[in-house]
Amino acid sequence: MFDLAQGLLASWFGRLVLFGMTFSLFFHMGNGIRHLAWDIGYGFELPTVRKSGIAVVLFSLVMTLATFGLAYATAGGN
Amino acid sequence: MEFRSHLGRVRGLGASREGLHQWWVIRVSGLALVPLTIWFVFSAINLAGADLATFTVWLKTHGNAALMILFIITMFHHSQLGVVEVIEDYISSEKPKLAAIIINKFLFALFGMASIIAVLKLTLGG
Repeated sequence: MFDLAQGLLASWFGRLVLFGMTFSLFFHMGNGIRHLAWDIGYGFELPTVRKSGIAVVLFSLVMTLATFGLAYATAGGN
Repeated sequence: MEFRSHLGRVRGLGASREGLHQWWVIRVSGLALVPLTIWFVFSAINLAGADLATFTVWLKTHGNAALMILFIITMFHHSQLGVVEVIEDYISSEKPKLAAIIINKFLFALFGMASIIAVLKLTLGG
């Protein structure tokens, strides 16, 4: 069972799904933090909203690439 | 014409006493999930390519099993509430809405429990 799951995640399609899910996870986390800031009354001005929106996209991209870079480094090409 | 008093209408709303309980739980679980998710992703990076034996050893060390179960409970609860939000926003008729919410809650409870039992089986057995 474990090897089946590992095998699926190691295939090119599995890696693609994993990449998308990693990006989605960081995107959701970034926007979640943005919402928490709005909830306590920060960052409601339109220019700030735009800036934080762009920041979340950049954050998600950087974190996803970093995650995959580090994971490929530890797994050693696996 | 509204016959309820202002107090009656407002009671229970605000400051997460009753009316906003669901809203409040989503925020608090979301806040808890920030460090938990960072821990989870960091662990996944370190375990990339590991076999079952390596993973089991990792799960048994320090507080990893406890953190994993905490992550599972918080994440599944947060997810389930998020799906409830979507259902409430997009299904307007009451009966299908209620049915969808209950099925959603049952499914998340089932998968959450299966995940917790998987952690317990790996850590407690032999």
